[in-house]
Order: sequence, then structure tokens, then C-alpha cells
Amino acid sequence: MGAAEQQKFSQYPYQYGDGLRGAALAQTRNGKDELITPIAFWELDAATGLYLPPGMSSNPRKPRVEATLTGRQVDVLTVFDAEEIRDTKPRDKTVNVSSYRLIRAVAISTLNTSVSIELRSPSESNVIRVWDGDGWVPLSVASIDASGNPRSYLLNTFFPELNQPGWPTIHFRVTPSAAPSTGSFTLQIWGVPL
Amino acid sequence: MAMPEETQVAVDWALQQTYAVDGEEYPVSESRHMLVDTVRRYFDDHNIGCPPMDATMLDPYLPPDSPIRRG
Repeated sequence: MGAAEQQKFSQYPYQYGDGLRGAALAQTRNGKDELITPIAFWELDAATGLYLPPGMSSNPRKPRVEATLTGRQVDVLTVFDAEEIRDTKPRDKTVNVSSYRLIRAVAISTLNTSVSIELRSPSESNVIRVWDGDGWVPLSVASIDASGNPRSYLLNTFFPELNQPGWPTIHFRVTPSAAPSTGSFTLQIWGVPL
Repeated sequence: MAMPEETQVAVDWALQQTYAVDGEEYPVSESRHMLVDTVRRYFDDHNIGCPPMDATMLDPYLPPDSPIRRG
């Protein structure tokens, strides 16, 4: 639609045939103005005669469209749930991320020793090797320094592989450099469903 | 693993505490991670023995309307 053909819409809410008012996207098709998807709704309050947002009226007319939000849009998967690690034994945990199109991995540590974090092969839990241009090398190992403060670490910035889709599962191996005597360790996946 | 009988008192106390990160104070009641660390501090301060734990072990002691409670 050219600029000369653009219609100036009123600043007031559009009024439908039954008296309900609402805001909507509009387009012109074959020379005819039409509303596409209503994006806001108003209810006529019978007691006051005012148009109010849905839910505000004590005596509303039925809204033109009843919409239900889908609710949660990001899932939180807890891999390590503030676990008090007190030895140097490697801890392996696998998390299913096949139902997410986007994931973020976040670690929080208050352990008083540094801790390494590895991404390992989901099926064999062995080292993943990546091509560096000259040969196959083990995927780098992230290390989080000892800290009494609960700092959060976005692991995607160390493992850019996590930014790419296609992981059925992710296998984490977490290993302290020495036996911690204080603090705990948390690792979460934030997933945006498919 | 059985938790110490003082766990409820420790959790109730921990939920009233704050912790500092980068110079700012945050309530323990909004962090599962810091709940564990703060309950451990209570146990240590009162000479209460407890094997290594994680946050899931403290869920039964959290108020039903706690935003950090799971399960």
C-alpha cells in the first residue's frame, strides 16, 4: 500500500458492530480495509458505561475474543541443585535437551576450590573432539575459580557449541581441583521449547 | 539421608538472611543455592553434624508458598 493510499485511523478504539471496542492490526486488501488479529480488548462495564480492560469490570459483557496465554516460555532444568561437593571425584550428569530449540547453561559456584566443567559425549561420556583446522583436539575444559560469592557463569560464552541446535542430550562432567570444604555448586539449563 | 532435627529451625533462620554479591545484598529466600550455603552456616555455627546435602533435601522444610520450593 503506497503512502498516498494510507488511511488515517482514529486514535480512539475501533468499535465493533456489537458495541465492543478494541485495538487491531489493519491492512488494505483489494482496496478494502480489514482488521487482522485483534491485539487488545475492551469490555463494556454495564454499571458505569465505561470500556475497561478485561477483568477490570464488575459487570462485563462477554469480550469479543477470549484468549489464553500459553504461559511458561522458558524451562529451567536443574542439573546440579546447590550440591555440596566435598571430594575430587568427577561428577557426571546428563540432561535431555531434545525438546528445546535454544538453550543456555548457567553455573553458580561458591566452592572454595576451583572446579572444571567439561562437555562430554552423551552416548559414551567420553571426550568430545573438535576440528581446529589442523587436527582433532579435545573440547576445551572450562574452569571456575574458587569464590565465596555466588557468581553466575554463562557457559555458552565458553562453549559456543551450546548455541547451536541439535543436542539430544548434554553430558556434563564437573571435577573440583581439590576437595572443597565449603560452598556448593549449581548448574542449570534454561531451555526455550521447540 | 536423614536430616538433623534442627533443619527446620536452620531453614527458617536462613530464609531471613541476606547475602552479598558484588557489593549488593540479596535475600536468601530467593536463592536455592544460597539457601544450602546458609543452612550449612547455621549447622556449622551450632556444631550440628550433617553430611553433604543439596537443595532438594531442603524442599520439605520450605514454606508451601516459597518461590524457591520445588516438588
